[in-house]
Amino acid sequence: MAAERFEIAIAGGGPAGIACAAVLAQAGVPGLLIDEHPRLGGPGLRDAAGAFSPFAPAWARTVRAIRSLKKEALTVLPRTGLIGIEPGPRLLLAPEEGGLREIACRRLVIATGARERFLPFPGWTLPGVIATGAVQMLLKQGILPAADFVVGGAGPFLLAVAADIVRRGGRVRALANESRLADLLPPPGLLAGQGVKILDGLLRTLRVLVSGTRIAHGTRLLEARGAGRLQAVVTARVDKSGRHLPGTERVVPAALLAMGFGFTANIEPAQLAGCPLFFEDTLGGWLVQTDESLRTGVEGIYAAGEVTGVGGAEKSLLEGRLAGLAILEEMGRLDAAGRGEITRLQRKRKALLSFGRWFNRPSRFAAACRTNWFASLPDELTICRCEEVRLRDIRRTLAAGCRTPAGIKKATRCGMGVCQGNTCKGILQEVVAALTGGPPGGFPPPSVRAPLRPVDLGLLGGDTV
Amino acid sequence: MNETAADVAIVGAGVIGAAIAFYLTRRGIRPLVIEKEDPAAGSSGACDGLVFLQSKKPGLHLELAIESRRRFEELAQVLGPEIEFRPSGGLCLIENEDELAALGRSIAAQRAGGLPVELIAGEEVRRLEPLVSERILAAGFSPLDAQVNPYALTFALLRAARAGGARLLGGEPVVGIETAAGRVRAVRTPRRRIAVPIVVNAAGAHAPEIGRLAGVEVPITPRRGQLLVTAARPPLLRHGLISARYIAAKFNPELARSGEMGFSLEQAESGNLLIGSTREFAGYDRRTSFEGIRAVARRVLPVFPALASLPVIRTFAGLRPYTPDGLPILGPVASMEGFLMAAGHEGDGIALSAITGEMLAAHIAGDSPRFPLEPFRLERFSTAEAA
Amino acid sequence: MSGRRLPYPARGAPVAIRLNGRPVTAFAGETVFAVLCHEGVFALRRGGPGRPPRGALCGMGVCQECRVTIDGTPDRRACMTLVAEGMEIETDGR
Repeated sequence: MAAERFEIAIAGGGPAGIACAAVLAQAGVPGLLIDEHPRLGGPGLRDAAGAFSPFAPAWARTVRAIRSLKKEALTVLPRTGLIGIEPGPRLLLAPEEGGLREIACRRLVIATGARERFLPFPGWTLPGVIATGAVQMLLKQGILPAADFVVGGAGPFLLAVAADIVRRGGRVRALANESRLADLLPPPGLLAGQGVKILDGLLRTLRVLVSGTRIAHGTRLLEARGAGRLQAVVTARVDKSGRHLPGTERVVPAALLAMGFGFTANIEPAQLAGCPLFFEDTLGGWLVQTDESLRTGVEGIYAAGEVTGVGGAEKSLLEGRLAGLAILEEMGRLDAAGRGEITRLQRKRKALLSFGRWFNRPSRFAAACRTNWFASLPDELTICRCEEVRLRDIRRTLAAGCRTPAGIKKATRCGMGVCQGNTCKGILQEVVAALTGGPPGGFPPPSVRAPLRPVDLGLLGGDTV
Repeated sequence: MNETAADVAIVGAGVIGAAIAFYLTRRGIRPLVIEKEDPAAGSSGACDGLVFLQSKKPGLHLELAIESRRRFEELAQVLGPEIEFRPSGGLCLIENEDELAALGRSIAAQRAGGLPVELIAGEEVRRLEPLVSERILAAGFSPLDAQVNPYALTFALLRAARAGGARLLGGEPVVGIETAAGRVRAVRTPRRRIAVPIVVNAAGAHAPEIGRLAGVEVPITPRRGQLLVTAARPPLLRHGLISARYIAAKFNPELARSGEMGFSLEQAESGNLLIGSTREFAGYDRRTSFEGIRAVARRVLPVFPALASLPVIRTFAGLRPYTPDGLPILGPVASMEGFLMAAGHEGDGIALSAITGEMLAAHIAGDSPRFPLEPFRLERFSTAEAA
Repeated sequence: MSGRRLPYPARGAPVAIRLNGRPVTAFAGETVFAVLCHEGVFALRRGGPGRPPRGALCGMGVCQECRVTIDGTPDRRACMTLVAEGMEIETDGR
């Protein structure tokens, strides 16, 4: 089957993909931008019209970039799933309607973003336990999903979400952040370049405190309770070695728990394309390796945004633009001013990576804490939500002689379900690391095969259009 | 470096290595199973769970498979329901006159060889499996065809073997086999030397590498099979299902050369459908390809049009250990005393695991196996060449 | 109903849909997930053994927990689908 040809394909219509597309479209390079959501912007910036932070230059820039795209001869395919990548690069796409499409391109930019990172606790499968990012997206769409919330997990993002909830009229009954306050404070080096963000953080803190929310650090989500849906959240303080302190439990009634433990990059498409990866816990875990111009280890493939290091929308916008300029340079279509901008962006990127490291570090617990935490979790805790694999199954399989997450996956079906392990494979790595005393990142991420998203058998076996 | 010793070392913790360990412990022999990754990390963890008899060539191959199948009832008793053994019966689906003719001959020969199998009409096929389309003219049906969970079988065999005294050394590749005066003395991993008089090569598609360590040429080639896995559904299929194309190709090499592939289909106990499979020589590449997975989907859709709306959630590829004559390589190797082969089952490893385990265990224990090893020995290839 | 709509500059035109057979007014541009939350429908499907109720988790297309039946097609992700006039949404978590 002959594939449709494009000079450049961009996978992911978040800030990185949009910024990259904007650069290329302005230069008149015919490109293709795909995203599985109906609207561009990515989960963070999609509903920019609903943005309510006064300190959101990234959002304004994204909106402008999206508008500029519409004027250019760029092919945009929203509601289109990326199913597979093969050498070439060739892409297999599944539009929400119609048959599969096969695309051949000279260059591919992988800008597939990040997803929220979850750690399991009893009751985390109850309806009403929702990702912090999901709650924020609802608020941006103008919907307050409940009256009473608990916000919990780890990392600095919890405060941002709590502030957004309060601002939109919700009550946050408790903010339980397992990170220590000291770990959440930005180092002086960051204050210089990121003053606006930090000021924003202070204002948010103030807003949450004024609303009467109890902000507790070093405090764990011990359990989510409810019959059929969330009704209450149990929190407890933890000591520095990750043991929860008996007697400090609090039961907080809530209709929704906004929960998150930082972010992790959507590296799967890059992994499928054969791009070399590296592990840096404080940049989000497993990430795509690139050079300074964002070229991956595979000829013709670039990576931009969260997949090179979780660092937020500003970093993604920068990297999208950088990747676009680098491609233009390779094509011999960049003037001296453009080359100067590449150098400036490369320098600024370093500062944004430092911000990323600060942002991610508090959600990555020390090895001893992880071990103590997982050791305390009950056998019946669900690890794999799709296949209902329990912690008991994993403990047993380790005892039976399996040593790696890949082996445990086969033995227990953990990660074999319909989400393709995207929710639990990171958890499984953490569990195995914690229970065997190994370092996180000590195991390679499990292998990835097409389809990257479920695709109907009829589509797979049908003709490409 | 650690020095240790064992009576028997089995290289590979796939279903074959696990079965040999299991049957050895039943004879009071405690082997050491050495696995470079985790159990079932290779082909035993990348296949479907069909324990099929209709697909076996009448004669030696079928007899071996029937002997193996007999032992599955007992394995299910001993290992428990976790292996998900189901004597579900199997259908071999016929799409055209060529296949019908070939299957007619195959069934006659298989019946003569002791397999209960019959030809049933299209209407009867659709009564047994309502999702089968009108495209199917008829089918071979055998009540002995069955299904099992291949990983669960491998893990259960290993667990039982360990309970019987076997040891598992996981995450250590065998990097050397020491020999002296034409016999095996020890195996080495990066972390230890294990003095051992008997080494069983159960390394599946990697058996040639292990053979080379002992100076033994093993004519096994990896043959890639790509499979699709659908989302779990309530029961849709009741039997193991394969295309008669596979059998027809054995009788009529012209069909094999035509390029039209067969297919296999089963619903695992988890509710997921497993649909296979390509048969390609692609070296040790375990990736799936657009071409491969789409070919499998395209092949099965006309026969099961109702499955078009089922989401495919995963694909995977396994490397089947292919031998030139389609039979496994089992038993002692003439050129190297103490070096035994148990590999080369291609797509039959799960089905033949039980008998392979028993034959090797009996040989190692010094008994004459219930089923003769002679026809399966490595030397058959050099004899054929000499002739 | 447990959620509520906030003042929102970009809210689209009203859209009539049905949720588990019940007529519901949503607004163009909203995801099915947003409408389900607004209507207080958090249990969307049943999980494995014991069939415990399950609801949306990630909201960004990854976790597959928000699968519902839309216009007769099962396994559509509520978080990745925008409402449309006449849409029929069925959940299995009741």
